[in-house]
Amino acid sequence: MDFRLNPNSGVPIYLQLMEQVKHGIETGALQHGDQLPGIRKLAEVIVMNPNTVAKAYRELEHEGYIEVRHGAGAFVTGKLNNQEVQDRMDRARPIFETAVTQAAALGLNDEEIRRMVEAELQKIEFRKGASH
Amino acid sequence: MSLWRKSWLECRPRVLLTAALWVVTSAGTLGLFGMPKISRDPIPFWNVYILTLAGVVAPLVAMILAGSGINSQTASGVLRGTHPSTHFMLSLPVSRRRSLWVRAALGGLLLLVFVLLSVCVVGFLAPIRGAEIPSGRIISAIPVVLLSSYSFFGLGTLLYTWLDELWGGTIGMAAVGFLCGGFVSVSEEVGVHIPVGLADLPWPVIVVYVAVGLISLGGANIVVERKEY
Amino acid sequence: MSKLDIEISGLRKSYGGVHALDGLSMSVPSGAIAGFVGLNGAGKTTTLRLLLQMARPDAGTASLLGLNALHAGESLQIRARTAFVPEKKDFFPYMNVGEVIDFTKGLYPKWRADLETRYLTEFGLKRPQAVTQLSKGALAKLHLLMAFSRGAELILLDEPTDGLDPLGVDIFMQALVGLVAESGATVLFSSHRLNEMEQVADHICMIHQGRSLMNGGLDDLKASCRRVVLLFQNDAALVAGEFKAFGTVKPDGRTLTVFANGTAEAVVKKGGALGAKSVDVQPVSLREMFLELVQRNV
Repeated sequence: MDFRLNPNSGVPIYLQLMEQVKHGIETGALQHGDQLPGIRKLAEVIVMNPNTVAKAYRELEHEGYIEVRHGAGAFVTGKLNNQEVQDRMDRARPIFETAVTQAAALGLNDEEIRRMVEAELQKIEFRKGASH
Repeated sequence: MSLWRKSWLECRPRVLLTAALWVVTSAGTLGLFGMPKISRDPIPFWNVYILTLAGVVAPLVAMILAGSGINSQTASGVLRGTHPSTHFMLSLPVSRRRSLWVRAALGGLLLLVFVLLSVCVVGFLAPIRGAEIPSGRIISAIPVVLLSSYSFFGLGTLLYTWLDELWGGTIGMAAVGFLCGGFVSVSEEVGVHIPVGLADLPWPVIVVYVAVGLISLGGANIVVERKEY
Repeated sequence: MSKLDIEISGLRKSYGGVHALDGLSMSVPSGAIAGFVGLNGAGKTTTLRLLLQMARPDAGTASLLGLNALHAGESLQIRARTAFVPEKKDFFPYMNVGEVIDFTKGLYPKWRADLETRYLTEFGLKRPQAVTQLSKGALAKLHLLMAFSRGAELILLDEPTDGLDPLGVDIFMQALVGLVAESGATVLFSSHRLNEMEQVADHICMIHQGRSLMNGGLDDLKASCRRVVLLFQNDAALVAGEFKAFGTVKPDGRTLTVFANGTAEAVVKKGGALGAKSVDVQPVSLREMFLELVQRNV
């Protein structure tokens, strides 16, 4: 799998890496039993900090996307967190399709759309933070 | 490759310069021994040679061999400030004192070779040119030249540790010129008897030379630890 | 990541009345690749010199690998386990490449001959080349070869990419991450190439005028720093004062940009209260973070 990371986007790189692995699983590019490159190998190939790769793998394992077998490497578990998550994503997909299609029709480019989604998420996060 | 080999590579151009000086003085002196007037009564001329060696040439060579070192890692030539490679050298697991003393020991060894070759080759080859120097005179000249050259070597080690190549060199050479005048006045003091054997040197002179050498080396030992790079 | 391999506290050093370091405190956890960021003259080179006993601080403490870096005997032990690439990339002018390597190799029992061979090839260096004939870039490469091959636990690099061409920078970064992944060494490297630093660093030590501006994990710093762009009905300069407490404020027509360090949430709330038409929260790159913080501290 070809990982494309943008170190200067401001989004922590381990999150970018996690997102790309999750995306790969969602699109089927990564399937059950597929082996991910070792930490050192991946760090060298995409030229990034091995601790960051390790952190992304740790989080992915914690969330149940991959399984790290000692000495053997990291493997895709094939299941998302649980079927429920999959169902919810299926239900949300049309909403995003409509929103993104309409935004694009208004002339927003990919980056602008991504930023808007990011900003909306941020607002939710802050509201959550404020209510605590 | 050890610190010794590094010191040797560092000294190499200085050794060449020293060798050139040795060839010129030795060949020149031997040539003059061939002159009939000198070869008939060679002792006064031998005395002048040893006086020049102890008073000028050997101190000069001592300054050359003491140069460079920890401060300026240059092989030769005038340099202001610290050579950039000094920071790399100081980052290695070698204490500053060890760097200083290995370099000084090698320089001291080379100086010994120079002194022995300068005295013995000329002294023992003089008969080829028809001049006979008693071996007692040759042997007794060695400590005098050693005494003078090592006190300058100590001074040079201090100056090159404390100052950079430019100022260490300038002050060192000035010291050679100035103190060599002192050596000549020694000969005046003892009159017609030129000091070419240890027994001819007045004790105060010996004490001064030994003291200058030892104090300088002790000073270098302190300076090298305190200096900031 | 609990152990600290570099720990500096209250370090002071002045040269002729000028404070090169003015109470610097910073730390780097074991196994991190730490970016050492600062303007020219901020005190990075002075810090590295003090850490390696090339000069003595006026005050403060410093430890490397758990040993007292300001103690002569312990410094020697530290240096036996540390690699350093100085700001001025030069070597003994009377040696060739092979002699420089062999001299250094002799001082490090854990020397990695395999890495030496590999970097000689990758960097295009030849053993018989005289040091005086090497270009600035080749000298930097030779320094990196020496730093990476000696089996060091701590690697201190002062402007390691200075003089390197783009390919050299690539090889350097790849070698750096590969070495850290394999050996777990701790790295502190200063550089002005913040984009590249952001790619490989996971820890940032930012200093300015001899003091620490920021010290921490890059992800944490990125998570706390945000640029909030607020759009108002009227001239944004009118409300700019309301945001001063949260960070640097830049009004521009009807938009107001607030650089928020840990205060984005408060800025968004305040914006809502003041009737902002739209609020855009943007992530910030290391470069932007640095420039922002330095400008605020001029």
